[in-house]
Amino acid sequence: MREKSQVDSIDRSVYDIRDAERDNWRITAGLTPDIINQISDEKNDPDWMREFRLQCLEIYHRLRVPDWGPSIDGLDMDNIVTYVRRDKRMSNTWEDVPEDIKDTFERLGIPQAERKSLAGVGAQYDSELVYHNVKAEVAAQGVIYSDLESALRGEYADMIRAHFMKLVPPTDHKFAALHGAVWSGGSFVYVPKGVEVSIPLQSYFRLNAKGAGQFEHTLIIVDEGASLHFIEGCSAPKYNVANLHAGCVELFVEKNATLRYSTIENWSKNMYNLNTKRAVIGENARMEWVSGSFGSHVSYLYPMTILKGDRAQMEFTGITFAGREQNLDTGAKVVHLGSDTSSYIGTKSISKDGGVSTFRSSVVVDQKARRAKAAVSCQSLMLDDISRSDTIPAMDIRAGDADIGHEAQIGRISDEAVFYLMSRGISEEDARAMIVSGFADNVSKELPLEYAVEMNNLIRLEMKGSIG
Amino acid sequence: MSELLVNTLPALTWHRLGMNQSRLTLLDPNGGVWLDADVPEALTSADRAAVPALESGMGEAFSAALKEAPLFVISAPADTQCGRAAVLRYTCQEATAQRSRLYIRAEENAEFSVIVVLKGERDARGQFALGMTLDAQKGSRISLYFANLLPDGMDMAADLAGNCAENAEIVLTRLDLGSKQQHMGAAIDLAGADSRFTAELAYHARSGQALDMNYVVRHRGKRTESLITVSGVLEEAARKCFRGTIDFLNGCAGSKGTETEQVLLMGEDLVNQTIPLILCAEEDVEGNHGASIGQLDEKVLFYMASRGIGEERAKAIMARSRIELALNAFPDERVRGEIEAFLAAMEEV
Repeated sequence: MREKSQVDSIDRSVYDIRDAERDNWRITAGLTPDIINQISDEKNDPDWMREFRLQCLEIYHRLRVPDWGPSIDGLDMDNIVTYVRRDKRMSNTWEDVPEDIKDTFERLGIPQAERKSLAGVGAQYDSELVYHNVKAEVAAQGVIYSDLESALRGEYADMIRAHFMKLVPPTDHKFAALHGAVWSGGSFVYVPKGVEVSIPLQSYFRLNAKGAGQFEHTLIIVDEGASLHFIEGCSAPKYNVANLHAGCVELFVEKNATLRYSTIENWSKNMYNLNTKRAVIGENARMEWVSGSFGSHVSYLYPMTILKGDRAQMEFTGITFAGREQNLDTGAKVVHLGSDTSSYIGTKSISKDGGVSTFRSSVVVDQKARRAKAAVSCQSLMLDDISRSDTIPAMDIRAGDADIGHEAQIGRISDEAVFYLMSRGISEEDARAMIVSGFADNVSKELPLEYAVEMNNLIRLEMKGSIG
Repeated sequence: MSELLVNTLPALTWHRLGMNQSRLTLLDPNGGVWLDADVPEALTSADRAAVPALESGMGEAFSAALKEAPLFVISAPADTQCGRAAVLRYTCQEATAQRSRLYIRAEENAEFSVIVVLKGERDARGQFALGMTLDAQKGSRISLYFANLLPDGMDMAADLAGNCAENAEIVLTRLDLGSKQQHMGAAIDLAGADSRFTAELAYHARSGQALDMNYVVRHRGKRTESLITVSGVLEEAARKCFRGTIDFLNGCAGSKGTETEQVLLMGEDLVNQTIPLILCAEEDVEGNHGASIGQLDEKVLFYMASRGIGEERAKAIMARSRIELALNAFPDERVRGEIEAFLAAMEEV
């Protein structure tokens, strides 16, 4: 069995494992009130959630597909199955997870990571979580890490109702409305006041079912003075029909709190990744995003941060690697509302083998935001002349004492650098891979070691065969 | 009167930002503008010519609306080297609603300059819409200097479409000081190998003024170069949207494009929108963009104060420095005097 933790054995087949769809329950493809009611029945939703889902469906049908990003013509919603689950329900012990699912996650390194370096793990397979666990010492600190459905009916039901899709309202865009209608799975995290979670929590999302969608919802509340690092990973095997991921992440970072949210996205190249992530940051609080986008056929991904409290801070570090058959439209958004807020967006993008990479951002400084500071830096690397790389950064400044900087560069790998490495006995392919890994250093140095290794392996995989 | 969508970004982004394009209400033409043209003998002028249909910054709808507008043509025969600039003064009178076209053509290896000044009588009201086409043929160089000195009552829409053949160059210097509302666009096609576009754009927007700009450079030929420098001042209650695009098309190997913008914010209730695009479908290129948006550095104010210069005066000096480079580039003393007089009148207000 090949495992991804060995650097020299990485290949795409680890991610392309397809499990036979045994014992699966699939809802009929398409989007109708009847289908939404069936999902609601399946999930035993409270009444307000059922009504909310149906409202979202109406909004979904009313809103138009965006006309400014990559084409999603290949995504036929009438053929997407919005809910797939195994007959067996979620477990808190690894042994109870169905054997084939367990094998898949073991190959992806999830249980090993949990043992070595994580405070808790949630593993979602298709529409439902199959495993969720949090270390006893972390739970003892009062940290809640559970699947969202359980939380919706438990002690934290009111808290969830007060926060669910308040930051990303279904009217935000068509796929936010879709998410509201059919969401399933995902995690709820609450870190109580003053609690510092010293090792990360992780959720891993695996979409195995052909022609299906995954719509998990992640809701994290980091209370006053608390801190958390949350890691999100995702992958899927490749099929010859479209799959869809339209997840939603809502993050509430209260006064003096800190949250780091890291993602290594490695969906298969038949995936439409139309994901929405948003954070609101309180006074003196800090939000850090670390984002690596490697997979998907089409991606629309722009984590947004609202710096609401005075002296709130945000830092976004991202990398996007677009290869053959990929059109990845990624970036970040920030809104400065509080005074003395600051933000930094630093991204790198790489285009190769006909891949299209677009960096898209917006920095908005509200009239009331005094002394806001923002800086945006994006660098793009073109590895051949059949690919494409676009940079579309917008700045809307409405306060006279704002201080805003922006820089962007686009270019190619320097021949001198490749020549230098080759003169030291390194092959041209390895030299180019090494330079690209160095270019991606901004993200890898921000990730825990295991994830940085995974990211560098993905780059090496993408660079294979880049010569000749 | 017609409603047009103009200054559309070559690649759209989120509509809610309101930067993808802008709306322009174009008044039905009724005249009211006098053209005073001082054209050196080495150049030829005419009111008829077949104007090439080129992509413009403001877009097809604006070009179509001006299709039948009166035309003025300046052209330079091959190998003409004209030291004195042609000066065109468009003077707007009361109740103006004018549409005009200007076609500037340089044949092979010709080099010359054209200055366009838009002015108006103090009580002039209305709108002036000007469409300019620049055709720089092989080895030629056209330098266009453009100053908007229109009074507050006049709105302006000035569009530009340009084409550079092999080794040709277009140099654009713009100084936008007047008009309550200004729409400006330029699209330059660097079609020929080794062609170049250089733009020095400066503006000073005061209370209630609104500027809407769209500059696009298409790098098509090999080893083409573009440099766009924007420097501006936004005072209390002014609005500005700057769209700037460097587009490296497949095949333009060896090309370089740079765009920089500096905005000095002076006051409140202002809106600064900036969206600099780099579009790239070619590996062997270098594209750069840099923007700096902010108020006056306190260290500068402190330094000035230590030299006996008060805050108001210091701000005026620094605001002036933002447009000084463009102003000094105008190759005609009389025109520079007119600009100085306009600035002095603005400062009095």
